[in-house]
Amino acid sequence: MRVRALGKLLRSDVARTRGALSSGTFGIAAGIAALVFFVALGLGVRKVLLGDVFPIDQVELEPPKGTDPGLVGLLFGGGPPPGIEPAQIEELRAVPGVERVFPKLRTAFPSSARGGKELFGHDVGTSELVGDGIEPSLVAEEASRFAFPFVDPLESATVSCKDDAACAAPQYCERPSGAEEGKCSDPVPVLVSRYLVEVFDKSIAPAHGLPPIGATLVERAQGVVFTMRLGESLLGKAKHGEVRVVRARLAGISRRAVDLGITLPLGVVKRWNVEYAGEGAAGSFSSATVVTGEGGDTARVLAKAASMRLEPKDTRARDVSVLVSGITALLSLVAAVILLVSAANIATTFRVLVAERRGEIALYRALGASGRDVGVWILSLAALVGIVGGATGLLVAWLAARLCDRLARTELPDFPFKPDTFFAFPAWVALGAFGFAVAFALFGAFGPARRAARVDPALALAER
Amino acid sequence: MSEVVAATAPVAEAPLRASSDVVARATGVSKRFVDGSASRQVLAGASCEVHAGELLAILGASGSGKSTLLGILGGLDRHWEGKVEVLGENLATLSDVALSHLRGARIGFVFQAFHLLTHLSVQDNVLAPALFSREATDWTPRAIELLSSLGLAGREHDSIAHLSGGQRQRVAIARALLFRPALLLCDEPTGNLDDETGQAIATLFRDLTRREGVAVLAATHSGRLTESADRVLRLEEGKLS
Repeated sequence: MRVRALGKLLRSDVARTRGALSSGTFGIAAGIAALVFFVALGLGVRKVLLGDVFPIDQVELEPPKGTDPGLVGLLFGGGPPPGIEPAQIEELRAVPGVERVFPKLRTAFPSSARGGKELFGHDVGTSELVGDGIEPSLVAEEASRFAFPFVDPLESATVSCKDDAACAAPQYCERPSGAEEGKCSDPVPVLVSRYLVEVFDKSIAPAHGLPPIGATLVERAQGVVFTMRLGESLLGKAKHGEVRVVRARLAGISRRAVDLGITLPLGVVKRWNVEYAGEGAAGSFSSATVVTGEGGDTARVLAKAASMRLEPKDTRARDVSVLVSGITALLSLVAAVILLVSAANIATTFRVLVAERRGEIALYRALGASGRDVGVWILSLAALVGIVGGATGLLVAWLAARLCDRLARTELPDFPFKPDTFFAFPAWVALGAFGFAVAFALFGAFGPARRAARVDPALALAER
Repeated sequence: MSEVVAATAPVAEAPLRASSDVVARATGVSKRFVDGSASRQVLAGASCEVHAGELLAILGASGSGKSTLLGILGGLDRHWEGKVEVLGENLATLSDVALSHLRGARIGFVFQAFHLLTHLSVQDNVLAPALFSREATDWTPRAIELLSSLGLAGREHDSIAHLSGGQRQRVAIARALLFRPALLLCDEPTGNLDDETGQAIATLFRDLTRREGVAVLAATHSGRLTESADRVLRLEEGKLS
């Protein structure tokens, strides 16, 4: 049958059987709307959780936690924390699918920080400060957004000094414990995570009456200089070195930064660890971030890590991924049930339609239609129901998503990582929706179409 | 009504013009209807030939198997015994697609009950066979020409519901003639018509055979069509004589 003739038949069918076809279309639309809504919600939530909160394209590996003496152990005479040797880093880099491996070195001495008057109106401080050192190349792709370069400032320091007075502000005199003189150094660049900013904005700031950093204040916050007290914190003093104060500067916000704490250039942390915790605290790394990229094989990385007696620092990404996928699958199952019911409805509608048109089908057979022509005609009518139902369902899902986003914006309180939208509508969702809609409509109409194709024209014409 | 003949010319398919050409041949055709434990032999070795340019009337009582024989010759009924050839094709060996194509392109049907589609206009009813044609030809001018020659000029866009019985049958005939068939199978074509209209239809069929070379096989239980027929066969007890 020619496409144009088929189109003419379908137009005539739609005009004649609008009521019955609308019923089938409504069922498909309801099922597709539910399916698309739930899938888009799952994708949207997954995007926020696994993109911003728990990045899934990277895994941080560290030695087993049971072997780490912890901060208290370091303060009260415990041995150095277990580390990842440089050779192990190279082994991880050789794992297929691994894009990059970035070693991290945690500060192995007590420290605290104070500052932020420019931002908050008065200084705020922490009694304990946790810091991680990372290779600057780890954040190279984000460097253009930073207010200041994320490099060890001592690399470019040339002026000798004995105290801060000898250096032009905001520089300070970086003079290690026991040294006669040091070098005038720019404030040490510090990165914080978006997670930390979100937690501060949505939880800490409201609780302490502080203004949120917010999107605009993030810009202002970058460049803020604060002081770090090295070798001493509320918990006590370091075993080695002299307590001294250095200057640090917020250089930017990075998704590679440690969630809670500050992130410093690796060279700085190595130097300070040697000064306050001895050579042993700088020879190996405390953890390593393995970047696999989107769709990377993290399972292979984890298997390799296990063989090296390393374990993932945080399994939340995997847990959240499984949870979101599970919930999405469950809700999609509900939508699939709706689609199945609508397919059954279409089957009934088309069975009645074929029964009513038995004589007409027989006449068409007499006029030259083959059984295949009749089958194609009925299935095309079902496909049309599927396409219209799919388009309607897609539109309804999109409108419902917009409504939910609007309600979330106006009715829900702020919380960390509250997204602008909870939904994601990639092109494949729309295409898949149409595919499912047409597939279920065809599934429902398959039996009636087969029956129509097998109508005995001689018998049916005699009955007409 | 004789203008129809002029209107339907020229005919595209030329090979079937000689009156000796056999358009359809049934040889020893038998058909039995089975309904549960009951069965009824309708045709029992019926044989006949219809030639190009011939009007063959099959006379028989109601229920004698005339419609069944037409259904078999037209390829609508595929469950029978014997041999049936139409335009040289053995119907038993044709696939459904090939048989449907043969039926659509070369065989026309005219039914007692007209079998028109009431949701379509007069013109669209005539054009209905074109829906399943493999050719992308625009048959509208041909449909208008046929309707005009059958006395239905200006009624192209009318609803079927607004036509009389005779007019409906003429629409059905126009539909059957759309593709200039070689074989026209007519099942009680005048059964629902008054004498005058029935006679006009009979004359139309005779003219079609004479001028177009169409083979017309008309089943009837009345004598009206037999007067115009070239040959008359009686169907009795499943056999033609």
